[in-house]
Amino acid sequence: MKKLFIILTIFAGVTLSSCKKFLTADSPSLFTPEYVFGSETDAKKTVNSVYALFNQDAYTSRLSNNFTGNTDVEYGGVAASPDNSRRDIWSFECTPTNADLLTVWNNAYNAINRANECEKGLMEVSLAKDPTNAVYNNLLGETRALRALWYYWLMNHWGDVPFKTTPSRAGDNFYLARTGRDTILTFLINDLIDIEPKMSWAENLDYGIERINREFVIGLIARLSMMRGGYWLYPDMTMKRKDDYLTYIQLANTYAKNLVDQKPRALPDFATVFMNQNKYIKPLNSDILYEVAFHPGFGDVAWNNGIRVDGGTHPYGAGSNYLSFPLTYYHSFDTLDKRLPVTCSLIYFDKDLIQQPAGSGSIAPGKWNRMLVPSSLGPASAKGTGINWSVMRYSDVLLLLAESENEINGPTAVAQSALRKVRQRAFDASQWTDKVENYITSVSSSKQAFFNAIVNERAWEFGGECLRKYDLARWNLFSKKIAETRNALTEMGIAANSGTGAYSQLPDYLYYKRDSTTVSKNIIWFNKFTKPAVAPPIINSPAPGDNPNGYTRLSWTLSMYNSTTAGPAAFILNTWRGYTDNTGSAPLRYILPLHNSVLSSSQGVLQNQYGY
Amino acid sequence: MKNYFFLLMLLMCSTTLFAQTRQIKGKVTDENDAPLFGVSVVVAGSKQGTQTDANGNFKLDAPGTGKVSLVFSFTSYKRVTVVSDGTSEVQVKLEKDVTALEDVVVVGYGTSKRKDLTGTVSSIGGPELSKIPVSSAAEAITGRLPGVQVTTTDGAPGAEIVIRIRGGGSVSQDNSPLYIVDGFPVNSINDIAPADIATIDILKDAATSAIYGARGANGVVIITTKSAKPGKTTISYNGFVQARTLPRELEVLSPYEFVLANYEYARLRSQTDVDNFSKYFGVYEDLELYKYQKGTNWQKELFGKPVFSQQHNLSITGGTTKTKFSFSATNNTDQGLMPGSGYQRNYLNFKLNHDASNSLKFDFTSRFVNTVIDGAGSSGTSSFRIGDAITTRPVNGLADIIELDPTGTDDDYEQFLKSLINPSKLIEQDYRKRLSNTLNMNVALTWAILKDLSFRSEFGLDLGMGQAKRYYGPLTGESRNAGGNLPLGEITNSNTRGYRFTNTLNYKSHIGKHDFSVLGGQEILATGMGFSEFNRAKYFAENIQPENLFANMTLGTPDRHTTTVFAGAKLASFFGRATYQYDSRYLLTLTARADGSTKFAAGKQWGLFPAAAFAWRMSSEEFMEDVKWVDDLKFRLSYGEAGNNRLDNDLFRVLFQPTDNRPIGFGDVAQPYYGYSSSLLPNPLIAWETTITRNAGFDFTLFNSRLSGGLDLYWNTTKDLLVESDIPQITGFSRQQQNVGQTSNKGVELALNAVLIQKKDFQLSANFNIGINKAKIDRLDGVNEKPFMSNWAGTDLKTQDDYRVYVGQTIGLMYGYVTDGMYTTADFDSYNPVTRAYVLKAGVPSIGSFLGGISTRPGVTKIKDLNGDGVITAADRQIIGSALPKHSGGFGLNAVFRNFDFMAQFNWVYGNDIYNTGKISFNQFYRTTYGNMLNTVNSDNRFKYIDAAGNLVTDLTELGKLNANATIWSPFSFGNATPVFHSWAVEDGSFLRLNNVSLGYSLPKKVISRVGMTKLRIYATVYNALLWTKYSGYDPEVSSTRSSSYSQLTPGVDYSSYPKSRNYTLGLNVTF
Repeated sequence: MKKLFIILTIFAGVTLSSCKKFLTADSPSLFTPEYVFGSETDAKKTVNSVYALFNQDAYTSRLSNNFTGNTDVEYGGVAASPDNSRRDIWSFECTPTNADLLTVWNNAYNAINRANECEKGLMEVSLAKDPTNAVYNNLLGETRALRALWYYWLMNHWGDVPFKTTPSRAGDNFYLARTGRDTILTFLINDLIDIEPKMSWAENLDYGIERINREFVIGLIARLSMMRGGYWLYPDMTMKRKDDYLTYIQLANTYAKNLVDQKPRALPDFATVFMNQNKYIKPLNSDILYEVAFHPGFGDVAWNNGIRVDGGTHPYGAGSNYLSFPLTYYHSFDTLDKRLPVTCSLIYFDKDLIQQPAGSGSIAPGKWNRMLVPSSLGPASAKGTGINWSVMRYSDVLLLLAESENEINGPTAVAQSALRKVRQRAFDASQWTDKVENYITSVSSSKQAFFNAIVNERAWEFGGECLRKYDLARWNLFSKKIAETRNALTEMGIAANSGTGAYSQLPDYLYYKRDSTTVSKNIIWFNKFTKPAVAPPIINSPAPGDNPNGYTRLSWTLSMYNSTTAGPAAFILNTWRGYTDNTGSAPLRYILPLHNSVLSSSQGVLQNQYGY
Repeated sequence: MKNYFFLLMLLMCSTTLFAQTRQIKGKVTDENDAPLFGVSVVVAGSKQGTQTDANGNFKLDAPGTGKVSLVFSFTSYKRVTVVSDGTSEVQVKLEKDVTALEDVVVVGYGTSKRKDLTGTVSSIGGPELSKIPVSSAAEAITGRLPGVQVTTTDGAPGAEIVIRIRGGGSVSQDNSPLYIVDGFPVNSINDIAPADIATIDILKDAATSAIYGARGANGVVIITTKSAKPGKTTISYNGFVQARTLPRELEVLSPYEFVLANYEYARLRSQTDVDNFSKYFGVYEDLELYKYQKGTNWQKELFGKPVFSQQHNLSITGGTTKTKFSFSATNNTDQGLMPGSGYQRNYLNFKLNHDASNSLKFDFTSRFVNTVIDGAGSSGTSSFRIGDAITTRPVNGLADIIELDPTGTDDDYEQFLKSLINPSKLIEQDYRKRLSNTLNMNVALTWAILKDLSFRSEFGLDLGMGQAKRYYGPLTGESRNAGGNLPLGEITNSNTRGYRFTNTLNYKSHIGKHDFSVLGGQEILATGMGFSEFNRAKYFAENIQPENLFANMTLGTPDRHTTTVFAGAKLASFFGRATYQYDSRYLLTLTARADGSTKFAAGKQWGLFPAAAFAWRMSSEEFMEDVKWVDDLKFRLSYGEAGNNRLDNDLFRVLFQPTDNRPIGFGDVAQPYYGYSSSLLPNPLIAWETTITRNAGFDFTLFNSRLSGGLDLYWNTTKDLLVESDIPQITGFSRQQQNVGQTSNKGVELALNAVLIQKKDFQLSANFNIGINKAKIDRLDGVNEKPFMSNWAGTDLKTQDDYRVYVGQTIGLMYGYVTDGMYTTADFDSYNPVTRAYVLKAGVPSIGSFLGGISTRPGVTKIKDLNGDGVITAADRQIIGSALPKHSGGFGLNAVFRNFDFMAQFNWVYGNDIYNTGKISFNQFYRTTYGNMLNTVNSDNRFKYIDAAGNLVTDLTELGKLNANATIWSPFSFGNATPVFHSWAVEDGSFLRLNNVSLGYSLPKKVISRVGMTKLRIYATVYNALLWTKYSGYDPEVSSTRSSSYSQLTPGVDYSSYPKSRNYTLGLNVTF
């Protein structure tokens, strides 16, 4: 009996140990954290998972574009009544059932969690093995910068949000309440300050400016600090900034200067910056510090944001455009500003690639054009242009330097010099005396004047790049600029109709002819900026056959006028419909509601604020 | 131990000591004097035995001298003991056993006679199955077994079949039972040819299912395929052809009504809309012309045409008593109602049994199934929706001559395009073909070590090869988003393998009136191991046909290529069962099983599942002897636990998997990345879900076997529910597998079989079963309430959370607004033409623009202001429906008159509600451009805003006059993207269905024997013959949602369900 017991015990032992072995099921297609952070090649691939979330509709068309309207610079067309789509976000009429809200929210936190996962893996596996490894350190910086970017966007759109900096694990408290924007921003800024010195310049990275690099992180510290030092909307519908705001303006100033000192560079020709993007060229130590990398077949740049190209038999495919500029923006430019023709496209290409006038309601971002992509996208193509999307340019850092310097010390030489660099690029050297030097002198008369100049300069510099919403919010100028734009457009319409008033010198009509010698029958404008003293002869007018070599006309500021109501055109009434105060004194509710399913899954911890 | 050994020795000696033999001869026939083949003849009290040959004759060497008792037994015949004088020939006539008490029931790792059962097993046998042709095993049990609810999620070929035994305990876990085919677990009972099924046994309580431990919590369905029979080689053919039709069409607006509705809609919106409308359909004055247009009937076009299917089965059995085999081949071709859909299955089944010696038996079975399924279906991820057949406009108006403007913004353009597409074209472009080959082989060796002790070793291998092809034409969203508006193709090739190795030791003995048996065993099971390769290429030429595309992937631009190795899941188990019987009067079964599963983290892997059952045969007691009308009466009591580990692999740990799905494009190249291997947040704490079942029941046979049946009461509790819980999105995930809460199911089941008439020429029997189940949420994760979403309309649905789960209540509660008719002109004080607003009377709650359409005005749908705050908000909701039925069941009649047989089987479900999404979305313009609606809202019924001249009427009095007879609100109450779930859309889902009715005729044996046949039967069957229901949709027996084709938490949703067809069948059974 004893023997039997021993035999049985041995048998049981053998069985159990072989059982243990049997009860593992590991696939060579699946990897542990130790593995994926265990080598440089693998760690890069893991961090790519955070980057990959840029290649989702949630980012390409939603967050990077649709969420940033409507401002005094960019706007998207709004329907006759709210339709629970992106148009409601544009017109400040978004409701908690808008599906785009959930798409972006989920994608943002998905990216944040992946970044948290990468941070943990890089620190506990990669850097634990090799603390000074430059690749690992840069990856850690990339991870933290990506996390910071997503939180930056989340806070800009939803205000205070739940804040999590560790990868989600079972047993965590999933029901996090909102954390204040100040706390989050301070954390993110310090987080980046900590890693920035250990990162690599773009020139030392594979994929250069397509990878998050040291110069971008420096710029990002400045950008986050400016937000931290700026205004934001509180749930009680007031716009306030924190008492310690100057500390952060100072920090932004330090870091902006830091970049200018450490990595000085000449600004390339303005048109070339975007031409390069269209042509998939990514120059190092140039204007763009970091851009989101799309490969051919992906990315919506020049599909929903760029020159419109109608699909036809030509090889370029169809590019729509959601995003346009109001007349106020177009006419705010100095007519000699080289940025104007690059930024504002007055034409589009029809299905036969014939140039057509875009019209006053469709002034498109001319920075991107699908026809310039190195190998034609194909007749049936639409989305997926492969054009990269810039997140930050050097000129942005220069203007942040000028702005922060002015905020702390007024329009000093440092501030002026930074602004000068941006202005000089915008004008031909022959006009620098007037357009750059005299201009800077005149706007340097006071801190306020210089600030206003920065507000304008950023509009002219970044049109179509969808940064305006964030700037307007931190300046507490959102409501004011919306009201100004709407009032100005209304007056333009009235002036066009009556022929008198402040805007009466603007063209009521644009007149154009075609250059039939060019393939695209290029449009030649008779007047682009002013109303001609005498209207040119119109083709087939007054009777058919009259003026065979005459012009065709296109309703311009006149299109802002509704002759039936003798008031503003529907376009003006609809575009910013959710904000009704024409004095601009009431704060604008630019913060979006949380989506219903975010509320329900939080089991009551999260609630909508701001009156949603 | 010593004693035991001694006993064994003694038993062995006993057989050798008295070995003295003589031969007994005899013949066995059935009640019609036809010889019976294969009847077992055993000398009572010994293991000496034989079987009858094809002529019913037997020879048997019997020990000793003098009188000898012979026991004759044969499946479905009464067991007979005949005392022979030992010299003369024995003539035995066996009687059919209608009570089925002697039936052998498969109970897992062994069999039992029905009379010896202590647990609850429902069975359906070959005779019932052979009479009605079914295209799947699940159809065969629909409505026939108490407490077993079979729901075909929709009528699509190859559609998922949901089987729930006693309600199912899990909340979101897969509640399907464990399917065992000839000992091997399979994923779906679709893998088995219905013609091959010999019996289906369903183990319902832990007493019987606990032997399957781990996976038995939701019951076990054991399918035994037809076994080999020795003797003359028999060839039989069973076949049928079937025509399927759409039994019911929904009435849509006529072409004229259609344009009128669209005109009114445009008129209500703006002049621009009216201008656009006129551009497409002409001016209002001309709309009369549409009265003469017939229009396209899309329902008929898309799934209304009769389609055909057929099934052919050929089987051959034969062999000697030592070696026998059976072979069966089945072909089943099924065209779906929708063009381009259908499936084809080919089954090959081979069984071989060989007795190597008296103590060594060898069994081999192999099954090969080849399946081809065509079509992307209408639910799940397909881009076609059944609703398209309703909402597609019946006439094109002037649209044919309009040139497409391909610019405009993306969704607008897509909607615009889609509105112009012929749905049949869309189906063509959303091409899907799935092919699978599975081969299953089992070998078993049984070694009778001693007379009472046997050892059985089984090894099974399961191999699968699958190929899925998906083509997206230029009209599909996928092509548009990722394929440059050109065809795009995806091929997934996969192979899977699994194996099973089981060893059992069985000991059986009896001492006097004490019978006992012990079973001990060990099993290892590995499933789902394999390899898969995914290939995707895009930018194919616009005109390429799917077949050409898949044959030449090189013609496109390679896009994605991934390979994956699946480690599969493994299960290691030890189990044992002991039974004890005293005088067949007191029966006791003890079962235990320990399972270790790779689905859990180390330390959580093992679960132990014990069960005990007791039965008392009251009819054997002395005090029952005088109760003549009771033939058999047994009382059963059982208690046990069973487990559930049905969840994805590796959910307990963080793992990464490389992928190239929408990657970052550094250097203009797709950069693969390591993503999480699961979309669920890993949870190392997940452990077995355990179901405790308690069962009490009676089995009875009464009135000289005229009435038999069973009554069962059960109470099942499932704790540590494995729930795929919603977690806040801020975690980066939306869901996590968790052990949460507890549910219970209580219920009563009754099954009755009655032989009403039993005459030589006419037999009539009836069956009846009913199951009443009450499911309850006992506990949730610390909360008392949880919202859930059916997701049929995604985020469009006004206040998406349309289901609720409450502690103490049942699952499947629908949560929504309460319909309160419509606003009438009496609700308003005045109309202000300047602000274009209607002024409500004081105290009438305003709906505002809540419904997304035209805001508060007469004719708009009214919603009850439940909280009385004067406005309609999400707070004005309550429970408005319950999806779980009060009871369900079936009844049927079987009759045999001379050579005719007749059978009718009904099934019913009572007391459940259906969430009819079609009633919502087809009675408004939902995501359509110039779409059609149901006839419910025709201009006679609906509240109208335009007068005869087509002008908008705003004046309250005029509006009142115009709509004096309006019976339904304006469909324009709702926005184009705002469906609202209100109580109007909840419908009674009760139904009674004549599931099948069948008439057969067997040609007289005399006639057919001349051509060598032993049986020739022809029959006609109508499946889904009649339906009685108040439900207004296609069919009340549905459960489909958009997210997955069946979701346990939100049952009862009728969304884009493929209509169930009515089948007319003609069939033939031939045996040579």
